[in-house]
Amino acid sequence: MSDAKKTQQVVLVSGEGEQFSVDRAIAERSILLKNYLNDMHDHAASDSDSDSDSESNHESSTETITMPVPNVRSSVLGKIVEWAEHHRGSTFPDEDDDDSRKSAPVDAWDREFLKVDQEMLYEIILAANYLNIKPLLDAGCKVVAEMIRGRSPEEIRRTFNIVNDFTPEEEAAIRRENEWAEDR
Amino acid sequence: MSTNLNPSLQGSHTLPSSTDSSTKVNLNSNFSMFNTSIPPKYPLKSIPIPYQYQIHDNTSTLINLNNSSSYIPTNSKKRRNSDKFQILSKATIENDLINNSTNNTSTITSTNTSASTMNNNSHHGNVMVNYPTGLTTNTNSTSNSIMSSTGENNKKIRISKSNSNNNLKYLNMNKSPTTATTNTSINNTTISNNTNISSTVQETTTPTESTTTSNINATTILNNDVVLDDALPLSPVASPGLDQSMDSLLPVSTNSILTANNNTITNNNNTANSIHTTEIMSNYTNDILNNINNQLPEQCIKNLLFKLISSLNRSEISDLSTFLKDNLQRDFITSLPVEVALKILINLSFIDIINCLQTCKNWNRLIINTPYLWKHLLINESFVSPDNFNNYSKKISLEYPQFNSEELCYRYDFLKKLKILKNWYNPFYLPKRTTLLGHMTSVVTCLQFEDNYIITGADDRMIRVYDSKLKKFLLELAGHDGGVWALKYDEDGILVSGSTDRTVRVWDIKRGCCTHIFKGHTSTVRCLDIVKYKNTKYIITGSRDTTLHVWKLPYSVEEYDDIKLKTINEPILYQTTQDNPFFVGILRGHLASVRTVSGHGNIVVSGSYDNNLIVWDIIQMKCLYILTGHTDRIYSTIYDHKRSRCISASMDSTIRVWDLKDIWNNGKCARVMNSIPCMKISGSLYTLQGHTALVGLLRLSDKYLVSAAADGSLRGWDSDDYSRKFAYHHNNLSAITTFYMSDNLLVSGSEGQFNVYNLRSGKLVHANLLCDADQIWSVNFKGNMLVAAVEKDGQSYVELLDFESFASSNDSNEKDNHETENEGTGEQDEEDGDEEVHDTNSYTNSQREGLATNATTDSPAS
Repeated sequence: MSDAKKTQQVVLVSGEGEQFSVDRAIAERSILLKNYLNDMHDHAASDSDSDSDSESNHESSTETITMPVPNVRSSVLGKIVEWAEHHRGSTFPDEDDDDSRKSAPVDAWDREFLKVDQEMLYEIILAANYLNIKPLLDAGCKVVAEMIRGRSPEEIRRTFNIVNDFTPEEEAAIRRENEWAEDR
Repeated sequence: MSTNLNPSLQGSHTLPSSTDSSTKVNLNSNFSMFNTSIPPKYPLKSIPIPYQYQIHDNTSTLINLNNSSSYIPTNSKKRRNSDKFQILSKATIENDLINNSTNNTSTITSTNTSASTMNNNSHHGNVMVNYPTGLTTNTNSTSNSIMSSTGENNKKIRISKSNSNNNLKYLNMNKSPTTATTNTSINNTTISNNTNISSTVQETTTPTESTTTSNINATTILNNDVVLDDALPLSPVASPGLDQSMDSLLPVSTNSILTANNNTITNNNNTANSIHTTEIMSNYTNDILNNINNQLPEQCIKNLLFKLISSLNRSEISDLSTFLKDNLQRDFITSLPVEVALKILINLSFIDIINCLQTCKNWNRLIINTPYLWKHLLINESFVSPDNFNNYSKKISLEYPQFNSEELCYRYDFLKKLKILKNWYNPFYLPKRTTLLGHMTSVVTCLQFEDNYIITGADDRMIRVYDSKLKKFLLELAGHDGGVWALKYDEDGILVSGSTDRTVRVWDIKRGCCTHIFKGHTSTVRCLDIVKYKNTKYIITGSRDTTLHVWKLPYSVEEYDDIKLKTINEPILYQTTQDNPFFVGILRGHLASVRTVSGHGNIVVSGSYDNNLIVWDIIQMKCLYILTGHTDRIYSTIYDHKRSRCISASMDSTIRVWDLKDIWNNGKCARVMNSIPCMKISGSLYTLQGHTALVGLLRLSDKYLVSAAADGSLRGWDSDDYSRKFAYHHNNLSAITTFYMSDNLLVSGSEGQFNVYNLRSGKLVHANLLCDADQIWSVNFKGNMLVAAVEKDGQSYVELLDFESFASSNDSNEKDNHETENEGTGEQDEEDGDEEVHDTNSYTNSQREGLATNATTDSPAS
C-alpha cells in the first residue's frame, strides 16, 4: 500500500487553474492535503481492500487524484511544489516539538528559496499556514524575524512600509519604559 | 483592443530599427538555447509565457479573477454549483458541449503538464519559424502560443494526437504569409469556429493598426507596409478562443469594441496634427487603458501586460523590477493571521521585541496583549525552564495579586526578571547585602533555598531557617544528636534531614517542629533525595552503612490523614523499621559508603565510595544496573530523567555520562547474580575529562552541565552533547567548595573567593561581593536573591545579596562607580532601623566587627 501511495500522482490545481502534477508523497508535505487524501481516498481503498487486496491497491496507485487548491495562486503553488520537491527526502524535527523547531536555524536552501519579494514571501507564509506545512511556515516566519532582528524601530518601519502612528509623547514613553532593558 | 495596442506599442517603440532589432532578438533567443553565457537583450521574449499570463478559456481561471468584468458571476456560479472534485468527469461533458457549440464554457482545468510542455515546444518552434519574418516576431509568437493553447483544448477534447498534429500543422502554416488558406485548411477541426473569428478580427484590426502607427510616429508609416505585408499573422493577439468567448460572454461583441476603438483612434488621428502631442498621446493612452479595463477580461489584460513587458529590454525590466520590489512591502505582523504573526515574533529576543513595541500601535498592542509571547520570552531568556512552566504559572499569580489572570502576570514578571538580571550582569551594581548570624560551628554542610525559606544544616546538630523575603532569621530546628549532613526541602514547609546520629527526621517548618524520626540506618545518613511516583513521595537516604533506605514521606501518604499529622506535638519516633509504617525497604548492593543519591519517579541512582553507581527501581525495590568505570570514589551524581541519563563525578577527576535508555551504548553489559540478578555495565557513554583533581560537585540546568573540582576550576558542558562550553578558574586554585547556577548565571565559592559569572557573555561579573568572607561553604540563588553560607573569623554567617534595587545607594550607577570595593561610605548605616538586620554595600573592618556583634543578637540561643 505504501508503495502504491508513493507512486500515486496528485494533481494540484491552483487558483488560476494551473495544474501541478506531483507524487502523493510530495503533496503530503501538506498536512491538510495529507489528511484530506487519507480521508477521501484511502477509505474507499480500504473498503475494497477487504475484497481483493492486490487488485484494489494496484488500482489506487494508478488513479490520479485532482486536488483543487483554490486559494493559492499559481506562482505561489509553484514555489511550494518546488520547496516540497527539494525536501523530498528531508526529515524535519519532530513536528509537535515546538522548541526544537524553534531553535533550529533556517536551512541554507530554504533561506535562498525565500529570497523573494515581500508579497511573495507573505503569500508563501499564508499558503504554508493554510496548507499546514510546518517546516515551510517556520522557515518563512524565521526569515521575516530576521528582517526585524537588529533593526531600529525606524528601520523596521522602512522595511515593511509602516506608518509611525505614535505621537512623539507616546514614543518617548515607550522608549523610557524600555530604556533600562537595552544594551545589556 | 489588445490587437490594437500591441502593434502600436511595437510601432512606437521599435519600429525605426525594428527589422534589425527584432531579428537580433530572435538570434539571441535562439542563441541562448546553445550558449547561456550571452543573456538575451529582451529576456522575457525568450521564455514561454508563464501560466498566469496565458489566456485560457476555462472558468476555473475566471473564478479567481472575479473582481472585474460582468460576465464572470454567471460562470463562477456555474463552477461553484459543480462539484469541485468531479471536475474531470464534468469536463468530459463540457467538452462535448464545446464541441457542439462554442468554446467559452469549458471548465476543463487548463493545461495539464504534457500540454504545457507542448506549449513550450510550439513556442520555441515558433520563434525559430518566425525568424525570417523578423519584425513581427513578438506578436506572432504570442498569437501562436495562444493558438497552441487552443490546441491544448483540442487535445482535451480528445481528438488527441491527431489533433495536436493538426495544431502543429496549424503553427507551421501560420508562419507562412498565407494565413487565410491555413485557416480554411484547418476548418475541419474543432477550432473551426475560432479560426473564423480570428480572421474577422484580423480584418478589423489591420486597418486599425495602420492608423495607430501612423498616428504615433510618422516614420512608422514607412514600415507599415512591411507590417501589412506580414500583418495577418501579426494582429490576432487576442486569441481566437478569447475573442470567441468574449463574443458570447460580453454584451458588446468583439467587433463592436474594436470599432469603438477604431473610432477613438480616428478621433485622435484627427487632432494628431496639432502640436499637443504629449496630451494626445496621454489621452490616447488613457483611452486605451480605459477600454482595456472596461472591456477586456482580466486574464487577457494580464496576457497583454506580459507582452508589453516582454518588449522591454534588460535594463528596463531591471528598473521595473526594482520599482516593483520597492513597492511590494508588506506589514507582515499586521496582515498575517495573528497566530502566524506570533510565530514570527517568538523568534525574536527581547531586544528586538522592544524595537517592535516602538514600531507602531498595532504591533505594540499585539505584543503587549499576548501572554503567549511573554511566556516564550520567559523561556527564551532562560528565566523559566520549559519543563517547569506549569509550576511557575501556578505560583506567579500569587506574586501579582493585582491581576486576575496568571497570563497577565507574564509580561510584568518578565520585565521584573530582566531588570534583576541586568543588575546581576552589571559589574558596578552592588546588591543590597544583609548579613545574618549562622551556626555555632563554622562549617555549614548543607543549604536549601526553596519557597521563601533559607535552610542551613551544620555540624552543630542544628537546622536554621531564615526568611528570604523579610531577610530575617526565622527559627532553629533542634533535635538531631549529631551533625546534620543532608537536607532536602519538599514543599509547604516540609523538610527532611539526615544526620550522623543515624536518624532521618521530618520537620514541619510552619509549626517549627520535628514530626517524625526514622531509625534504621546503622551509620551516618550522608545523602538524601525525595522522588514522587504516582502521587506518593519517597525519601531515599544513603548512608555510610553502604545501604540506601526508602521511606514514604509522611505528608504524601493518603492513609495517614493530614489532621492527625498536624496535631502531633511530639515527634513520632520509629525505633525500628519493622514498626515504621513509612518504611519501604532497604537497597543493598554497594560495598562502601553511599555518598550521593539522585532520582526521579521510580528511578534512583546512587554513587558510592566503592567507585560504582547503582541504578535502582524503588517501586520494584530492585537493582537495575551497576555502573562501573570510575576508578575512584564517586562524590556526586545526577539522574537526568529528561534524557534518561546519569552523570557522575568522581575522585578520579573524571565525569562520566551513562545512557540509561539504551544501556548497551555504554559498553559491556554482563548479567550478574547477586541476591537479585541485575546488569553490570562496564564503560560509559561519555567520559568528560579536563579536571585535574577530585570532581566533587555537579549541577545540571537546561543548557549546561557544570562540574566543580578540587583543582579550583569550574567547567561547563553542553547538557545535550557535553561539548565544552566554558571553564573558570579561581585565582588561588583552592578547591571549589560550592556553586550554584542557572542558564544565565553561575555563582561559585571557595576559600576566600566568591565569583559571579555571566554565562551569556562568559565574563566574570562580580568577584568582590563577599571579599571579607574567609570561606564560602554553600551558595544558592533565586530571582533577585543570592544566599551564601560563609565563614568569617571563625564565625558562621548567612549572607543575603538582593539584586533588586531598593537601597537608595544602589539606584545610581554613578555612585556605584565612585565607590571602590573596600571603602565604605558609611551612609547606609543610618538607613538601618532594624537591629537584627544589617545592610551594607561596602565593607570596612570596623563595619564588619559591628556587623558581627549586631548579628549575634539574632541568635535565640544566646
